[in-house]
Amino acid sequence: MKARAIQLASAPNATEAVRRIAAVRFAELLALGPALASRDARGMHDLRIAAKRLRYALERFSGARRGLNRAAQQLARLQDALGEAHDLDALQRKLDRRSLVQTAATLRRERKRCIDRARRLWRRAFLRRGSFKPLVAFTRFEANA
Amino acid sequence: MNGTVTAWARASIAPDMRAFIKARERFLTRATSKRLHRLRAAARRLRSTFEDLADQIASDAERATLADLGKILGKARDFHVHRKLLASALPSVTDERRNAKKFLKRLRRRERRCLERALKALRAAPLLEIP
Repeated sequence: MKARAIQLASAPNATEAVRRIAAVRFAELLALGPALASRDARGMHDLRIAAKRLRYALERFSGARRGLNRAAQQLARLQDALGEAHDLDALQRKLDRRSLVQTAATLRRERKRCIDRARRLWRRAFLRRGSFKPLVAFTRFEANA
Repeated sequence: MNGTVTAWARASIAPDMRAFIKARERFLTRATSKRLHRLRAAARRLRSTFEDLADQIASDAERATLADLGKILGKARDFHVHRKLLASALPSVTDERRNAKKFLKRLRRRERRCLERALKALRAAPLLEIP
């Protein structure tokens, strides 16, 4: 999934530039959220990439904003769960090709647990006191909703 | 173009570039899986920074170099992770254990080969600088 271009030339200062970067990367993440409900492998892979991009941007640019650090930590957990699911999926395909049926079934169960974990993390992030709350405020998505 | 934002963008790249150069040197000194993981993460972070700031700093060549490198490092990392996952699944496997162990050995061989390929690619890749 290609990262969207971000218009920074008209930003009056660095704070606004950071807000624009966070807003675009957050929008990319939100657009891919439905993949968790459908458990679509390709969609979840893209969601993981989007989580990684947003997390890196927050860690790099958010400085001492405590709320955004919390969001970055939650994204790291989400990225871990989705990453493990992706690795298990790739390995399971290799095992299927070698007719290692029992081993593949073990990994399939483990993968399901990883996706369940990712879904819980996603839901929690959007609760009233969830870790995405400060990110929603920072990117001004609340005002635009 | 806003001079303040451009200066900030250039300053923002520097830490990630330093981290990448350091990770690259460490991996070239000794190519372990742990160092491969750190190098891969540093390359990904740097590429991501370039993407975020592409509007301010032209970095097409640098991003292409990092993408190529990422593919090679990613393959080696995948074999390593798959090997670990399969090894942890083995205790719960009974009927296929012999074949699974064979496959595990194959993964180890391929991981080693990929590490060597990654080393070669890294030595041949152009040195990165802040554009």
